[in-house]
Amino acid sequence: MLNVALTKGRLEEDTMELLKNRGYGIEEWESKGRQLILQDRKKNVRYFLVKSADCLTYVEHGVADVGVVGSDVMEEYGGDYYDMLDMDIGICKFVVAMPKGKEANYESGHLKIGTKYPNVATKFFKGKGFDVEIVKIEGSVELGPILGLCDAIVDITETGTTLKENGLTIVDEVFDINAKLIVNKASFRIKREQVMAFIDDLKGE
Amino acid sequence: MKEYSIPPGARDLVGKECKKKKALQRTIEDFMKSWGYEEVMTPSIEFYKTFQTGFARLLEEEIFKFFNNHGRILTLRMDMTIPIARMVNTRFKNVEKPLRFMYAANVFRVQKEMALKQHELTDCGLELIGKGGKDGDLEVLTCALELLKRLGLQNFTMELGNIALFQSACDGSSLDRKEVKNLTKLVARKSLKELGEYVEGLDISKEAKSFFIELPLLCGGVDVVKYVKYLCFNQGMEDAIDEMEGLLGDLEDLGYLDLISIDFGKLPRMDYYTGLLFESYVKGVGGSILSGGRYDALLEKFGEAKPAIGFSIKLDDLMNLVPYEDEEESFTVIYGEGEIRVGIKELLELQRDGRSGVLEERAGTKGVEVVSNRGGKC
Repeated sequence: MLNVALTKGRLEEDTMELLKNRGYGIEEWESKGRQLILQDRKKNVRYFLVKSADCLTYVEHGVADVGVVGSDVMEEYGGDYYDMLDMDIGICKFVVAMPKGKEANYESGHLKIGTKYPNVATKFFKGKGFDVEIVKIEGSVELGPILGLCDAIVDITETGTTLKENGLTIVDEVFDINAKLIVNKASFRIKREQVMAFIDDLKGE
Repeated sequence: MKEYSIPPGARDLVGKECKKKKALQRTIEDFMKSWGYEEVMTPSIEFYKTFQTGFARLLEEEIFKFFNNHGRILTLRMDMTIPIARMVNTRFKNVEKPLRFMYAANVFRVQKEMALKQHELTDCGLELIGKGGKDGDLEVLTCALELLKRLGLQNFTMELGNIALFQSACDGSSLDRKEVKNLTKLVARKSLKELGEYVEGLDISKEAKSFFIELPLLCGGVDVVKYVKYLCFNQGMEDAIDEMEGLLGDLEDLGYLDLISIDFGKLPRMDYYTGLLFESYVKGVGGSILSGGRYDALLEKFGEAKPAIGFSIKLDDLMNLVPYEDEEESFTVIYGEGEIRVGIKELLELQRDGRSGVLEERAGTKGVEVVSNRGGKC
């Protein structure tokens, strides 16, 4: 049996849709209540629904053989696993945003950056040679600059609407994000055929 | 009341767990000794510089550091191969014949906390120093295979690779250090898409491009070797494949071929390897349980160049895989009030027969009584 960890939310829905089109039996998922473990009706596959960062942990320890997770989370938390397939879902980007009208401050002097992704932000600004101070914010990151906690934010955006509605403009792009299929190193050996078949199904080959 | 605890990522072992670990360790040690490997003990503390010399890409944040009173940086050893390489160049400088060393020692690495990882792990392994080429490869690999069999592991596979294939491909393509580093990272993670994009942007031949792009998936059964042969584009690569074919022939002859699989995309983080690489995976452990390889370029960093090959097995991971029954009979020596001297005499008597016991005072006992943990008196 192949154990698949799915990141709860949008990625879970998009992956299930994809699997349904590829002939997987996701009926149990379609009628699920609060269940977190689901069995495929047609294939020998079991799904776990987990939070994104936990997806990495489950796969790294081999409790899940494969996982679907955003590249943003992989970049932030790292870890030891194979990163074998880029998927066309979960597409968005990391951006730097600042309050409208203050864009001119971006490249001048010391900046305070609010973010849920301190590692990504640190690496990005180090690469640019900017003098920044990172402050970790757990949610509603857009509030930071509005209330004056920080000068700018590093966050994920798909369309930029939420940023705009909160009076923020994009001043820089960090990198593009998409969902990836990650694979446990031992599972890649022990369940190679199942893992490769699952990858091919997701690829649509 | 004050409470004392241990840091996250550390643990105490007591009772049955402790016995089990010791028993497993003894099995491994005895096995390695039966191949003529002699035990060495090196200090837990080394100079930081020793590890910096050994690993070209040492991750500074992964190593425990402190200072001695001369201001030099010390570390807790993070592996045993580097200390042995250092030791060979001081204590065994002019020895010509092959050296065979084994160890069972705790190694230390700073790990992410609260991620089911331990800072201190027991590494058991061996190093064959001064014996190059295929004979050394075959000896150490066979030893690893037999060790896994001895431990009673079910359904293990031994996966072989050869770093020389990748290194020769890089040399033949005149890649600079940064490019090799990026390629290593992408191939080792099997990041197929990013690797494809990165390789397309390199100024290298068409053959080289298709080789690097295919590398992460040049794995599976031994037949893959025949396929890889057609992807070689220089002598060094062909030599690496010839070496692998020779080794597979020997392994077939010795009856191990059904335990073998191949992964040429295996590029280890430790950067001292030069040839054969091998790793074993078993069900129930997320990473490899045993790993090793040839590292002919390490010894010269500490002085004289010598070929070397070795492997180590993760004792802590084995704990969950191997069953253990505590079979030893033990005794309780029960004595009456004020009769401890009689009790001690009885225990000493018991120990002379190679048995073990624990003293216990019990009011109302006349003289001494010896009771077995399996029931019954003796």
